[in-house]
Amino acid sequence: MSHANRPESWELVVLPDGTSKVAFEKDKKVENAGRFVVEREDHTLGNLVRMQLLEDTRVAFAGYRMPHPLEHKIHIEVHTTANSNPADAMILACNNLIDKLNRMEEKFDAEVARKQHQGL
Amino acid sequence: MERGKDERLGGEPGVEVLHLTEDRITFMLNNVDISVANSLRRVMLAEVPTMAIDLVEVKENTSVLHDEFIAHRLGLIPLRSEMAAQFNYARDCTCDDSCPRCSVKFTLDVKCEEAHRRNITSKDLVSEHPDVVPIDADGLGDDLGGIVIVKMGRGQELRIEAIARKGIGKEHAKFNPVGTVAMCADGAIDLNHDALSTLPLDKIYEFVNTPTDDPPGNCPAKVLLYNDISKAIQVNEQAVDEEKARDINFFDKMAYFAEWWNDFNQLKDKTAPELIRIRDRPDRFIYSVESTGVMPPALIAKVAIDVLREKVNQLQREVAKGVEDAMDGHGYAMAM
Repeated sequence: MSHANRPESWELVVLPDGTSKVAFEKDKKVENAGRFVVEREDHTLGNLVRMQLLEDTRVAFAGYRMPHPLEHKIHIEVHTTANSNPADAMILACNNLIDKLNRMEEKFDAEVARKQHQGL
Repeated sequence: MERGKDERLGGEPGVEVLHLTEDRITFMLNNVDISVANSLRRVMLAEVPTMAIDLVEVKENTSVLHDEFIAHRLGLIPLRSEMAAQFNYARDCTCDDSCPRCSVKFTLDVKCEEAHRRNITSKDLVSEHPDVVPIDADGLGDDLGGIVIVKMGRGQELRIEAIARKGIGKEHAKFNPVGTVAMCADGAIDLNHDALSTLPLDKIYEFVNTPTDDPPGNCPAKVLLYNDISKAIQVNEQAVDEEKARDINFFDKMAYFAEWWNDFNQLKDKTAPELIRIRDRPDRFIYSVESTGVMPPALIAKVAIDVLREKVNQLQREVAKGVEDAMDGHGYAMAM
C-alpha cells in the first residue's frame, strides 16, 4: 500500500513512447541560440557537454540545468556567434568528446596491460 | 572545422595506473577537465551494467524470514557480471517474459535436515549460466564463505525460483558494481626553504620525522627528508607517489599537517611566511575504484568509458534529428 504511487525504477532510463531523445527549441528573439531538451539524461552528460561547448570560441554561452529532480531530462542552452549555430556547436563538441574518450580508453587499456604484465 | 580553444589543456588525455589488485584499481587521469573526470566517476557508480536477481518466485518458505525479506536479500547478492554486455535488457528483449538472452534462472531448493540449524548461503543458489554465478565470497565474511541468505532450523524448507536480469545502478543500487569510487585532484607539495631554514634543528627533525596519523603536527607519511649535509628539507617524490596510490586522502592529510605547521610558525609573528603549502593540480585526478567482486576493477573503468562515449555518441546522432524536426524542413538560416 505504501508503494501505491511509487514511480517505476526504469522511468529514469527508458525513453517514454512518443518522445524523442533530443528536441530542439530555437530561441524566438536571439539569433543562433536555442535549447536542447535531452530526455533521460542527467548531470553526467549535461555538465560534460556544457564544459566541452565552452571550449569552442564560437560559443558565446552554454549552460545546462535539470529542471526538476523527478523529471528525468536536462536542458542544454547554447548561444553561438554569427559564424556558427547551436546544432553545429553541439555536434563539434560531441566529436571532440568522443575523440577524447577514445584516446583515454586506448591509454587506459595499454596501462592496465602494462600493469598486469608486471604482475598483480 | 576549427577546433576552438580545445588545446587549452595541452591536448592528449593521459592515464597512469598506480596500483592494481583483484578488487581495487588506483589510477590517475591527466590533462582532462574536471567535468570529464566527474562524469567518469558518476558512470562507474551508476551506469555500468551488471546482473542481479530481479524476480523471485517463492514456492515454499517455512523459514523465519518472510518472502519479501528473502527476495530482497537475494537481489543484493553480487553476481559475476563480466558477461553482462552479452545480455539484453529484459525490457528491450524480443521475448515476452524472459529468455536466455535477457535473463539467467536461479534455483534454491534446500531443507534443513541437520539437528540444530544451518546457514543457507549464496553457495546453495544454483545458476543455469556457468558465468553468471554468485561471487566467490570465501574469506570475505567471518566464516564458511558464501553470503548468508537465511538461517534455518530443523525441518524448515525453502524452495525458490529466481531470475537475474541486467540493469544499472540508477535503477536499483543492487546493480552498482562498485563499493566506492573515490576521486580527488592530484596535489603537489611546495616547501618554503627560506622560512624552513629559520626553524631550530629540533623542530626541523620534528617536522620531518613523524610519520603517523595524529596528532595533526605529525606528517602523515615519511615523504619529507632532511639532508644533513646541504641542511635542506626535500620532498621524496617517490614516496609521495607511493603514498597517493595507497591512500586517496593523502593530500588532505598533508594539507592538515601543513596548516598545523604554518599556524605554529605564525604563533609569535602573524606575518611570518608559510613553511609548506599543499597545492591542488586540477588537471590531474586520482581515482580509487573498489569493485564489489562482480567484475575486475579495471573492467569497470573501461566499461564506464564505453558507456560515457556511447552517451555522447547518441546525443550527437539525436541532435541532428532533433534540429531537423524543429526546423520542419526549413533551412536553419530561416528566422522563425
